[in-house]
Amino acid sequence: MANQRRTVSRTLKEPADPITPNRGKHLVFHNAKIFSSQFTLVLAMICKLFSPAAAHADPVLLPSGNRQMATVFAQVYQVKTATEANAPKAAYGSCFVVDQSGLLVTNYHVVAYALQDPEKYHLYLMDGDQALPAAVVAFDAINDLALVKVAKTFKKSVNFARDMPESGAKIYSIGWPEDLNKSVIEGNFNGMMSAGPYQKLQMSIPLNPGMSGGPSIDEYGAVIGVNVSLRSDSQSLAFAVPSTLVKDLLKKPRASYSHSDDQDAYAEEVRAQLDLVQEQLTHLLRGPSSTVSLGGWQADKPAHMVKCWHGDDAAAPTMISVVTEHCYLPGSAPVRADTDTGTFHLKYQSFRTTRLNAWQFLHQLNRMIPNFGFQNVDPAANFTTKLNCSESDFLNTNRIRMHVHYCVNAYVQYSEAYNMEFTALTLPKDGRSMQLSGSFLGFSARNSTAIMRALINSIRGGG
Amino acid sequence: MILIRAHEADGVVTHRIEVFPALIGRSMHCGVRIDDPSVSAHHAELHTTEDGYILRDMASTNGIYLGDRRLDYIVLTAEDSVYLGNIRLDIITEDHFEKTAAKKVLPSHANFGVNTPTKIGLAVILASAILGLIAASDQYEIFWPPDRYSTIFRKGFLMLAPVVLVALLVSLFCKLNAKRFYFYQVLLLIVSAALATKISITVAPTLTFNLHQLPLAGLIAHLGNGLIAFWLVFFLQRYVFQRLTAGQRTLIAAVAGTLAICATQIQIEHQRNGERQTMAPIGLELPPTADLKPNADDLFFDLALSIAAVDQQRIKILEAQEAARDSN
Repeated sequence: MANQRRTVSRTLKEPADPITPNRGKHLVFHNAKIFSSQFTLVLAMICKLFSPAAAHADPVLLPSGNRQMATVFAQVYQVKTATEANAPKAAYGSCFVVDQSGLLVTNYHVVAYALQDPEKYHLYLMDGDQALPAAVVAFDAINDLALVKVAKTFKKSVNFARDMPESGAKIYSIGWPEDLNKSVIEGNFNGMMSAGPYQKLQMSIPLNPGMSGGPSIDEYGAVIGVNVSLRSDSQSLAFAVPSTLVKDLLKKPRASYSHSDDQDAYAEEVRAQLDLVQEQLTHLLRGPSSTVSLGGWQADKPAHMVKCWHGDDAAAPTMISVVTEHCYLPGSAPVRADTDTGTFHLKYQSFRTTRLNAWQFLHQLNRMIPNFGFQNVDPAANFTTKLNCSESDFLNTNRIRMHVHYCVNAYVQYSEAYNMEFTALTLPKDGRSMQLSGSFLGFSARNSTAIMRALINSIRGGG
Repeated sequence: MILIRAHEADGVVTHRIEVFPALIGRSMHCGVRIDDPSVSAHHAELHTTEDGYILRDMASTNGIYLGDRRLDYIVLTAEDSVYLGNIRLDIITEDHFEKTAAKKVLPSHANFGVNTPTKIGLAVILASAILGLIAASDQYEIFWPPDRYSTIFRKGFLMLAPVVLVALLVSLFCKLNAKRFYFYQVLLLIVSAALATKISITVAPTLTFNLHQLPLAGLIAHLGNGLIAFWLVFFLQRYVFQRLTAGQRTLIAAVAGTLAICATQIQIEHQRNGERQTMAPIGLELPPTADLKPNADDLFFDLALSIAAVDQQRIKILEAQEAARDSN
């Protein structure tokens, strides 16, 4: 068993952990490779004399800037989702030309309405005042990318950066913020961020709604990523999908998703992508673990990829002191316009009281059990089934008695995909108890059950 | 100026008379009001003349007495004691008052005129109020295990707390045992108890009064039952409890009103219990640990059933969607 685990972790780590320190150095070292693009090289040499300030950064060649920028700028278009060509849009985003034959890349969430309901919504590429019908030919719901085809030949397409810029390097994002004028926004690149199957570029750049799907380019005009999101509670913490994933998307076979007959193929494709994600996440969750230790209790948590927050709360009114550790995966798959899935979070809490008797302690704990509810349960949309909840009590393999509440629902469109949430509370003993809650979105029944079993059986201690 | 100390059933009341002639009797119109069945409505009149103060019988039923003798009028001298019916009046004239004031005659409002039964009643209610305040605090479960019966007691105490506050205010400002106030006292007690119930529900939702489901009905029920209890006691007082002191009567009325309110609360609890989902705290009605196998298999068997249930639901939805598409 131990051997097996080790193998799993190794195979998992390599693709999922691309920013090991070595790799980072590699990126920096080969930064000059960018200039192998002849065009950039010539431009850079021309402009070298005119920007002495940048000479510190690179003594050999100077960033070109404006002309290259203008070239990319011209290749960014607006894509809108609407019921008809002239109808007011239901959603809009940005996209950019990746192939002169009429292929453009945008975000999956920009075109999701048209994929979900092709009878009602259609995609149009805004070429000046003209609305060209567009169709999604490939998508990556996990990384939020979509490839759109239009019947038009473009003069140029964008170049992709061969390597990522250094952290702190200047970058630009192009798009149509809030459906206003096409804009360039300047910011900085802050490195890669990867969490399980999710890879993002972290940027400090004030993206706006509508810029989704537009390119993020380095200062040589090469595309490094596709704008995807801005953290809403931050000033300018933004994320982009790395261009390597765009290249992967371009290699995918083309398919048609623009008719209602294609709905099954679409659902099947999403499910297949979701399968890949949850397999990786399952390996992550069942792979190497570290120990959460709270108030005399121990339990396992995944050793990699998760972000954990720790908090103590001496909850005076309830006479119970609570220690919490909250772990989550900083990434999710936007399989629908309004639904993120393919992620999980775990919450470990220990409760301790010296003043309540067993009866009172139990009563208070019972009141603290949270209400269940997934964010993406909308019975009206029939996207998922209703929650099916139950509870049970048992001993885990460490002979710790606990009570479990759980809820599960299924995705209607995708076979074998479920959301599951559970709360396991140990029976209070000597004024101590521990609670482990978990929620898993978009997992198969087999995987979520296996993870839940492993987590519940990992609870130990308490003495 | 003359002082009259009336030895009423529930204590000595001192009247200070400065306007003459002054009417003495049971009626509300009297300057010196003595609420006793043996005193007539307009019993006697006090005049001041050159000879001194004269008390004149106004054709009362029980007459006025000096010693054993019933007289039509009495010329009062210092330190006379006269009787109106069964009530003894000590007369203290101005000269005498000035001599003795410093020693023994304090203004009556200084000691609130509170007699023993009222004090006991207040002590009981005050103790309840303290318990009620503890009950109301966040830490109540330390003192009150959270079972159903202690919850009812807790609520009873909670309702008593504001009653006591009002009773104390009334006694401070209105002289608790001055009989004409007891009607208003008890009315206030009952109204305040009913209001307190409502306020507690509003400001302390964690106390989970069951009334929150039926606010107006609860208020009306409390008020109605409290008032019925009060009127019952009020009429009993008039015709049955004549021998009791005003303090005792106040106590009885208050207890009756409060009991009525508690009874209403219990009744509402009972009614709500029918509708309430039984939320047994976990771990109380569980099988003994010895019966469980340490493998959590039961849990995952249940989970598999739940998953099968949502699968079935999913298929139903898909079929419905298929049917809708076909009909289009």
